[in-house]
Amino acid sequence: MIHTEHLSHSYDGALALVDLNLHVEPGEILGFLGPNGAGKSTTVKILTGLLAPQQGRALVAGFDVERQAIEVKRRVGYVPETPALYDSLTASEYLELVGCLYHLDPAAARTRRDELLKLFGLDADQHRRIKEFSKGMRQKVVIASALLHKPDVLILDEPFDGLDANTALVMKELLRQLAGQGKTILFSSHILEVVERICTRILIINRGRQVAEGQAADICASTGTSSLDQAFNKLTGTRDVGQVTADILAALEDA
Amino acid sequence: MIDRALSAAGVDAVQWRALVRAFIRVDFSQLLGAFGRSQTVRSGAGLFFSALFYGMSGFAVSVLGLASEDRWLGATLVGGYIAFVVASNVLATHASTIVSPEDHSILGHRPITSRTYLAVRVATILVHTSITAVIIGFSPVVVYGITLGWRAAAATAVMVVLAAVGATLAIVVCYAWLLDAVGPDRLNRVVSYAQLATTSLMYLGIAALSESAIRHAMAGTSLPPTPLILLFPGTWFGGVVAFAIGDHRPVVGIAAALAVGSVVAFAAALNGRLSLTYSARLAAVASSAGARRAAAPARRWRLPFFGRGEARAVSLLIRTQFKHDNRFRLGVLTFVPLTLFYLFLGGRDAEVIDPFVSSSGRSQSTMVLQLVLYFLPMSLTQLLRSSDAYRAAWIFYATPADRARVVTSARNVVSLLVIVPYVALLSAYYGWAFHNVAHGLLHAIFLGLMSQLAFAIVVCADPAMPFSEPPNRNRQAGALFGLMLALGIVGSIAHAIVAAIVYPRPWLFGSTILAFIVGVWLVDRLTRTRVETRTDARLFLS
Repeated sequence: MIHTEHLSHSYDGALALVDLNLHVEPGEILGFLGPNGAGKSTTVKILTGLLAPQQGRALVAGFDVERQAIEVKRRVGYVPETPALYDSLTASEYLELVGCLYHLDPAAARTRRDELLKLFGLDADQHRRIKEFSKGMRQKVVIASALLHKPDVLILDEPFDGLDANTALVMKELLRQLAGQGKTILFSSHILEVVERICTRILIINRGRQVAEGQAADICASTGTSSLDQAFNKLTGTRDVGQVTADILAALEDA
Repeated sequence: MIDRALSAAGVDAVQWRALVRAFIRVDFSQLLGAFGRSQTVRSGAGLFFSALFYGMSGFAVSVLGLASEDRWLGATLVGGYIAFVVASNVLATHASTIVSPEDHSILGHRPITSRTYLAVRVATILVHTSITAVIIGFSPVVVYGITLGWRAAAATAVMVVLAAVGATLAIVVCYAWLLDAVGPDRLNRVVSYAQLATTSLMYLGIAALSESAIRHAMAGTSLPPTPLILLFPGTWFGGVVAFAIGDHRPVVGIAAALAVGSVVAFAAALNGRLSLTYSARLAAVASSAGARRAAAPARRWRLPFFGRGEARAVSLLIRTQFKHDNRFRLGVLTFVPLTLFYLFLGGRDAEVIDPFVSSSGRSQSTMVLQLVLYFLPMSLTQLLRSSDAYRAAWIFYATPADRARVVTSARNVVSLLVIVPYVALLSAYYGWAFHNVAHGLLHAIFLGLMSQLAFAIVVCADPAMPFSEPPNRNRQAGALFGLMLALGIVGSIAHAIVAAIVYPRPWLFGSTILAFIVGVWLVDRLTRTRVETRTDARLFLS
């Protein structure tokens, strides 16, 4: 379960998050949307214990992210938006390192590591250095490392970034099945089609504030639009898409 | 005027200016606040102490140079020192800049010529070395000016520029040549060992020559006017000052001409070697190298006491970084020539006295003590905390890892892999020098424990996750300066007490060993409380 109450955060006086009330039940996949700089990453970092909330509180898996950060981290699997990895390690070594940090039993961790590497098609490459990996392969390593300790809660920030179409299909199905097993999933992405297809509920924030919540159809209905991307644009876009395009083309011609 | 000069050299002035500005911004990003206020303050403090350290050393060496009646010898000392410091700086901090394949992925698809790229890279490195040269060279210019007149001041300024630019270009040319010679796929490894070999040669050669020059200066002698003396590049730069103030002997004139000629020759040699095309080749081979390699599991032995949890994680990380991260490996390996150098100097300057037998006389340990007490712990701490892969340390913050345990385990892994072999080396040396294996072993253990305690104190003073900070070019010299003062003074006093009181009394010796162990344990306790407040994830949140 993920639960926030009046969560607010600012950077040097600039508001990044304002009074966010968010609730995700076990078995639910919440699509967490917002334009660039809307406060998604700030929310994710607070929920994963990377950033202390300045106002309000957040509970993850029943634990307070500020006061019980370690308990939260034990139960969360996190895929960051721009995951940096130790390039000098192999995929297998990286998962071993992560397993150690979660205090997993070495034998059990090895078995699970091998399973995950096989599932993500990395078994043949598991002893190659990560610096030799493509972007998609690196992303698979990060996703595998987020699943390694069987977390109750998954917080995924652009998890499909760099994945090929086949792996993306596997991931979508995997997320559905994990939700079916009762995992709580917060899914942040800019790919609205994917969000619409796999999320049971969607929350949109803009400039740190919640601007819509519900199922995709409900959000479309409430905004009087026929698709989620139109609804998203209506809720978060500051300018008309057609006008912006025309302006860019005009600027290119002037140049 | 700069634009015209650049255009005449076939360099796009607009691109050159934009790229130099961008690269300098990147290099000084910590100082400019890109990583938050605390990093800016740290970087600023580092820069201040670096400036203080270099400025004071420049003053000291110029006073020493003037002590010699032979102006050529004196100026050689100053010029050689400046060239040595600048070359060491380029070797230690700008090697990755010179061989960076990342440039190609950023600039390769842009309409930038190889010549412009070369000019940008050289200019960027020269900006850094110029700052160092100005700080070190300021005192010699003033001191020579006041003592010998304006002509000497002007000549000293020219010498500082030539020494700094010459040393920089020489290192860059060597790199470019090496890259051509070995090919990009073996480049990183070869470069790191070449760095080690060059550093060793510089320590053993230039420092020994400087040492000899200092002795001669103090003895009122002069440089022999033989052409062989020109084999030492410091004499070239010294020749500029000597020639300008009236020493017109042919050998001095040749030396001065070599100073100017070497800079021109290095600049000419560089042309066409360090290019964006070259960077492209680097990037292409670097990316295909992995595909050719068989994906076999690496052989890895288990470290005792590091079998589970955080200890096992950092043990895995540190050993892999040592194997595959040039910066880290080279930094650690540098201790080998440095130790040999210290042992050599110590053995040459004084008889190696067994402290268990006699506490009188100058113990050879004083030299090694400096290394053990401040250089080894300080350098290991710096090496352990900084890496180009620092962003990957987010994993220590997003997992339920005990960060205090991560910090202390990382220190213990490095102690086991560096300080223990180091103690074994010292033990063998002292066993041989004392003609008593047991005394050699006990003395080495004593020094090793002192080092471990100093290492623990340094880590506790400013704890950080392993490899979690971007390499900071300003910080190292500053930290070195501060620690030199603190640990050097404390260590020297402690050593004097130890040599006179502790070593002759077995019960006191044993108690002191025990006190060191307890001290490390206590510092670990303190470290635990400091870690949570001193380590933050800010670097990974940007």
